[in-house]
Amino acid sequence: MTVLNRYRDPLVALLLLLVPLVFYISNAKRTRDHNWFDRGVVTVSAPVQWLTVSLLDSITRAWTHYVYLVDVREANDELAKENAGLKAELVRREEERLENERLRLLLRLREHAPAVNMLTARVVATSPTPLFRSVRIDVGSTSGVTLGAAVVTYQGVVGRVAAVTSNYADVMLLVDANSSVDVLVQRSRARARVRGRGSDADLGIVVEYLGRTEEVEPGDVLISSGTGTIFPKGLPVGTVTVVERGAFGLYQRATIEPTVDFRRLEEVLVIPARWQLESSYEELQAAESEPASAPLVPPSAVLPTTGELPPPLPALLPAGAPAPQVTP
Amino acid sequence: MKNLAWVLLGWTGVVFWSSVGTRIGWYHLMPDAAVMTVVFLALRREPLLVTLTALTLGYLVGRAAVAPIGLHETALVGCAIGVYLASGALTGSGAWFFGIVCGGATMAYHLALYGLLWGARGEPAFSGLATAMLVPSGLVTALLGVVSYPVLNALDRRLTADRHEALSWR
Repeated sequence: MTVLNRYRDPLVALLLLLVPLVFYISNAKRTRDHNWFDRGVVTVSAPVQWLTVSLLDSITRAWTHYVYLVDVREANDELAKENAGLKAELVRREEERLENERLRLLLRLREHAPAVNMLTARVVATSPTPLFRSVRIDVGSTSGVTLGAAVVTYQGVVGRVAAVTSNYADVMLLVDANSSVDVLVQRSRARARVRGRGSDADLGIVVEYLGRTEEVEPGDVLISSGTGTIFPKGLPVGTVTVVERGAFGLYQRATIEPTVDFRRLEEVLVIPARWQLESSYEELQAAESEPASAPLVPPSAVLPTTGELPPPLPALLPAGAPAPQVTP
Repeated sequence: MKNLAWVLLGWTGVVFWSSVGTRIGWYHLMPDAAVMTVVFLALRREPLLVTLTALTLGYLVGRAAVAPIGLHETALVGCAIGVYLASGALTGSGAWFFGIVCGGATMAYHLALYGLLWGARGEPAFSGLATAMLVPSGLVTALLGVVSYPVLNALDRRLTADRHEALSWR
């Protein structure tokens, strides 16, 4: 009894180590939505994160637009001061132009499905540990975000909503190891599935279940297949970088570089879950043969600087909306 | 109640740094406030309180990362117990000592996550950048530990302040 009393604390501590271990072993391969307690924690902590990010943005803006100018004024005469002011203004305008360009591309994406309540969201936090690739966005169930909703940018597929609270949602990124998406090879129309590897950008996702006889080669573009009504058809997913075809086996394996830069996610669009394709498969095929049905941006696209917008997205329609008008 | 205050402190740190991470390019290079809090307690409190704090913080961090239940909890509790047991064999004190223990514990914590993922899934899906950030993350946590040690110490003193009661004479 004395021995038990003496080692009571370490024994309880060890027991408390075993409890989560057992939970982990039984749940190692799945994640679950937030329960009421988790939602409460998010409701309390997400505004703090939002405030922190807003504060950081304000400080950055203040530094760029004011403090920097003060330094310049101290260092130069009136002309240099004016010059610096103009330069700072130019920088600000350029920043605004790039932001406008980004938002315009997002808007362009929205215009293809005006009846779908696409939501623009801001990324307010990232995963606290690097092993899991998720971000928190500042829209939640009150804005219409549902579990499984697709999250995209003008660059392509970002991921899907894995947990949702009233004002915030956690998005599992495409590169997370638990994430997978059905895709088409744009050139050969071969179907496959891509799965995340938990990495950042290069070699971030791999292709699975791509038939051995299917034609695929480095440089091929993968687009979302539209099956499953999570991701609309035609969104860029990535570019094939390496193809491995072993001596045996039913499938070949390819490594993909995602089109989205997951390290620089700031604004995203959320597409509600369970959108529907109104048009038939033939209509879609016909639409795809038109130049207008190319993916929103080419796979290697970076932020455009010429002001030229990419061609529109193929049919993404809500339930009850008319069939898409494809402009030849 | 005191336990809750430490959980709140650790969680606030995690929330803050996860927000800051969205606005800096190298977002894997973040100090781990949860580990820091747990290490601080493990060096000066009884194991039960330390373990409970680690368990709660692990749960919160795990949910924020959309990770399987039990993963972060196990790693953080393991880390806490490890530091607690090791503290008996270590002789040292002060901000630098605390910083070094924090750095080591952060690396051990991330290695534990890696090991648990490897063990249960066969593939840890470990980002190359995250692997490269293992040692720098430990160093950044160590640095934050050194800087925040006086603050944590002051808070600890406030939370455990003795209550003096005077005799009352009629």
